[in-house]
Amino acid sequence: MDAFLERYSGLVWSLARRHSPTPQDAEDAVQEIFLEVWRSADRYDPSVAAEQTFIAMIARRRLIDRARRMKRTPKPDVLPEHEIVAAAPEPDRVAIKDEAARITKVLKTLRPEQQHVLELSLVHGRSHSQISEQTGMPLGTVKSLARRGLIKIRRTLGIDDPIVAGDAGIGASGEGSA
Amino acid sequence: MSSQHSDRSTGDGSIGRYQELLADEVLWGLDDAEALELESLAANMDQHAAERVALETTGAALAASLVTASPESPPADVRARMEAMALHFLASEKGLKLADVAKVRRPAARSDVSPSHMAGPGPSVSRAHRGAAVDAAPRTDRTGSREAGSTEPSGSEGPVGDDGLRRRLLWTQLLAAASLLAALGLFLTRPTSEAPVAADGEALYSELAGGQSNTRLVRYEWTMPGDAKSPEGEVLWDPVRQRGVMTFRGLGPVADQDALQLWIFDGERDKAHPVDGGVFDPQRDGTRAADGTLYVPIDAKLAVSEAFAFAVTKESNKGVVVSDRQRIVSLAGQIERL
Repeated sequence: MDAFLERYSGLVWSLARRHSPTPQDAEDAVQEIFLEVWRSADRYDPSVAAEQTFIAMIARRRLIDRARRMKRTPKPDVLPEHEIVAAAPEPDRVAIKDEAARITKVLKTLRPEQQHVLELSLVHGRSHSQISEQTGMPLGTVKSLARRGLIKIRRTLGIDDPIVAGDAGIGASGEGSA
Repeated sequence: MSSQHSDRSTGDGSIGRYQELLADEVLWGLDDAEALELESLAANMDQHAAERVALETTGAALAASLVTASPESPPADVRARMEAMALHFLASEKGLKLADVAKVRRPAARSDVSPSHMAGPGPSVSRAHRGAAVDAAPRTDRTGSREAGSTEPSGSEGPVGDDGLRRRLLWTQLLAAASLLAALGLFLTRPTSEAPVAADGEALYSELAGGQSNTRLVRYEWTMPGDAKSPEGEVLWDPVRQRGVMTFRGLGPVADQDALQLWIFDGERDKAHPVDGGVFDPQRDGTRAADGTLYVPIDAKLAVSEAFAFAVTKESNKGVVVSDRQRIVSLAGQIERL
């Protein structure tokens, strides 16, 4: 259990902290997420997704559900500096980092503003309106950038078949082809 | 559009809107109206479940990769709660009772499950499982119910893989079971002469009472209902780190064949079966301060989720699994719930 928590507690904590309005809420979210991970362990199929993807999927579902339940827009507080401890690099994390590097390389093929919008959404849990406010981009552009970016990455990574019949169907306002 | 993905009755506009909603669900979640709209459009999509999972997998892989670039470790107290919660889950939801635990056998090659061995990355995406699911858990809909017709993971019916999370979590259960067995076995056979824990009770008291930024500390004074006399003192219990200390003043000696035993009443357990908090002899165990106060560390044998009361009973010095509570020495907490 120590090894498991050592490897993935940082991932779950990082996502929870960024999606949660308060540190206490982040703690509660982490417990909820790990409980779901324990319960779902026998559903994991290593031929379909990497472990960190499996766990991130559970985490994001729970975090989105929690935000919906709270019926308020998440506004993460910044934790006191002493509580933020960078995880020490370990040999165990090499494979995870390799996989992350591969996906990040694909991400880098997107336009910078597209990368930024995706990161604000997927990692920081910002709503499209918050992203619009933060970046100064029109709401439609934010949505379009994120949708196109997500679908392009799916296609590039070869996650199942491409969903899209061309980019034309995805978004419209103020955004050209990704 | 995938060659296998067909829109049976809608035009391109509907497909476009369907794709938008699928992406929005992953990126931000949907409100009630959008969710209904997606359900309506999905009714005409042959590969809806697979499309949904594939896009969600993409979002999760991206999120994991971005976080992995600059991960943060949780604070120590959060990490401790994760561990306590995991043990509690394994004990309570996986049915790790004594009879079950006794059946647990540990595989011979511990190195088989070393982190490096299990670190085989595996594909982050499926190239072989067209339309197959990586449904980590049944998706919870907005009412909290499980999603009917959600794609069922292929791994749930197949054999256990050699690598991966499933195997590791199985190991987690086995090791936790072994720990529980060891703890129970130790408890059943331990003579009173063993101190509850090696920690210095007075030092532990100072640490806990000093705050140390833990706002969830449980603190109760010993008392007894009615006119019954109780020793003075208190209980400090840290639910985060799962440790605590008792203090006593005026606690008399016990007979040679007896010992005192602490019971912790957990709000998430049957109150007829409190958690054993350790056996101690007030004349031999704990730390005696100059003013006569006795400090005894708590030695909880199981994870305690919601301690609401503590009781000290006089028992056989071998310890007991279940107290008849006929010889209560002191009580602390919300004793009306006893």
